[in-house]
Amino acid sequence: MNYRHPIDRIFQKSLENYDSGAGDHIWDNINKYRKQRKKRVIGKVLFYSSLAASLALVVVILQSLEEKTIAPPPAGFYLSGSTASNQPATKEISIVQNVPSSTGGQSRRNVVAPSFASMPSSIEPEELPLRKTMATSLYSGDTDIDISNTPPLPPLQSITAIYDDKRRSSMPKSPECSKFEAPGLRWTLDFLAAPQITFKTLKATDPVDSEYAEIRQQTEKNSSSYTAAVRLGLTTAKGWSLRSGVQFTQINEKFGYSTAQEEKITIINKYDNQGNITGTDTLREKTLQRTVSTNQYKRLDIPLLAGFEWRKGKTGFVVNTGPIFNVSFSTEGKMLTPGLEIVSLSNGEKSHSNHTFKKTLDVGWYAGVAVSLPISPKTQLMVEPHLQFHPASVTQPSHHIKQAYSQAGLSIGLRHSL
Amino acid sequence: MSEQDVIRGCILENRECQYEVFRRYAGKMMTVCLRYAPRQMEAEDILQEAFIKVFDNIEKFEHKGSFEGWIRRIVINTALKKFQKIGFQQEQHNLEPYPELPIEPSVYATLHEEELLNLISRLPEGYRVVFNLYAIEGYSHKEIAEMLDIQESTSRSQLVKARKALQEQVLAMQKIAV
Repeated sequence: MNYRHPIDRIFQKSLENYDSGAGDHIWDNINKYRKQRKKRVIGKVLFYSSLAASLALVVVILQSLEEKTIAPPPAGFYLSGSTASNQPATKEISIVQNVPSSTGGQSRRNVVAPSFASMPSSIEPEELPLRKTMATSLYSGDTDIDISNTPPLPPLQSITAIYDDKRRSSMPKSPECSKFEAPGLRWTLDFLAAPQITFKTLKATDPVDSEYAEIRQQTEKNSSSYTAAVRLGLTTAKGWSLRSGVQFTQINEKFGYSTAQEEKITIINKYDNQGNITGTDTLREKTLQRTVSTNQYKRLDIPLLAGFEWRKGKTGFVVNTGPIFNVSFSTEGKMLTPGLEIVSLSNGEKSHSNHTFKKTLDVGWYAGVAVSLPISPKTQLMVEPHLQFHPASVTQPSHHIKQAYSQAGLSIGLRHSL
Repeated sequence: MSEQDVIRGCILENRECQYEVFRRYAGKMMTVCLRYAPRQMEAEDILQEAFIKVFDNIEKFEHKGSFEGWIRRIVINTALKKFQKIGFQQEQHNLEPYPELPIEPSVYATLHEEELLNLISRLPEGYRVVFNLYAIEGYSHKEIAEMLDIQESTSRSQLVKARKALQEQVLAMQKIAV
């Protein structure tokens, strides 16, 4: 059996099962927290669902707006669609076909197409001339076709299908094809990176903590920050655009704090003229230990930006603005607690960060004006001065300090037309 | 209500069962929190956070050990997450000899539980955590080193210093009493 120090045993025996009592207010707090969390989860689900629905709706509206600008096809090009379907489907169509019979070369009238709906859907390419003739005849109302010199008629196919296939096969195989589907809608991919200036707010939530806020302000100095983003954009012919993607932002700070470490005592003897010790001086020195670290605040966001684009000569201009939804927030480094103890902010089980900082942040706002210049037919160089405004605190609501960061920066990057 | 029924009820998010768990164990767990936290307020925060974790994860309790032991581990882990790494940065590895102060262990036995808790709460953060884990929870230095991500020698030295600091506090109390 392991040796236990007598002090250890006394403390263990006395405190192991001691009941200190816990107030009902703690139970109330637990209940309140769990209720709030449930509400938050429901709220988040509703929020992201409505966001996705809104996004889908915007895309659908943009596409439907663009489809209205598509020029109608030349008259008679389509047999299918409204023109064909407007023909009386029950009209009896007759085709004269020479059928060898015992009665000689007499013609016989066969009813072959009582309804388009009952027609099969595949056809061999060599049948096309015949079908085209039939279709033309149907359209013109001429239902008597002499097919005496044609091969025997296979099962009749959907005329609409034939002409849809034919139309597709006759389309030129060039990038212009895509414009036929939705002319004017343009997809772009932006790659941006920017150095930023950070505006930090450190405010005590309670006046009692204002001194702590001041000490934090003094011990944490902003050094640099940057952001990088990849955004997919959809722009209409009229210049309205919608952009979304991922954006990573990192804020770097320098933490520095000196703590009194150990007291060094030096005793200096005093001597008289004969060299005898007459007394002593005691010199007490406190050595200072300087703790420094680079603090990093990293956030991953999804911006949802609405914008407007216009051109002036070769130069393009884009105004973008919209909310930024945070996906994750993490911290690294060190900070002081209200008790002026240095604690770690790095992620992980032992981090103080878990209790101090939020894991995901509230909505922020983005605004930027981009100027672009073409560097190749599909690629543009882009410069975008921007503001990232994050009024909400990155700390937990229960923390002593409200800590928020907003940024201004100059993004430089490329826009690639897809 | 048996413990099994209470646990089953908690899994089904039954508030009465949750309150029953709180009523049965919160007092003892508060003692654990008070041992790790420097002040009552922080202790209450830890207790609250720990019980939220208990209710969130109660379906993971495998009935292998005691339910109380399982809750105690959650409380200790919560406390460690909140307060650990403090005070270890400056700790050196060399173990300086600390002479035992002339206090009979029986002196401690005359102290009430609140006084013992008070003595612990006045220890520096690092000493307090290691003393709690080693002396009261019964973890080895190796286990403490792994839990706190420190060296075994650091754990040993913190424990020795903690005991010395406790002895000094008791001596000071005795002087005041005289």
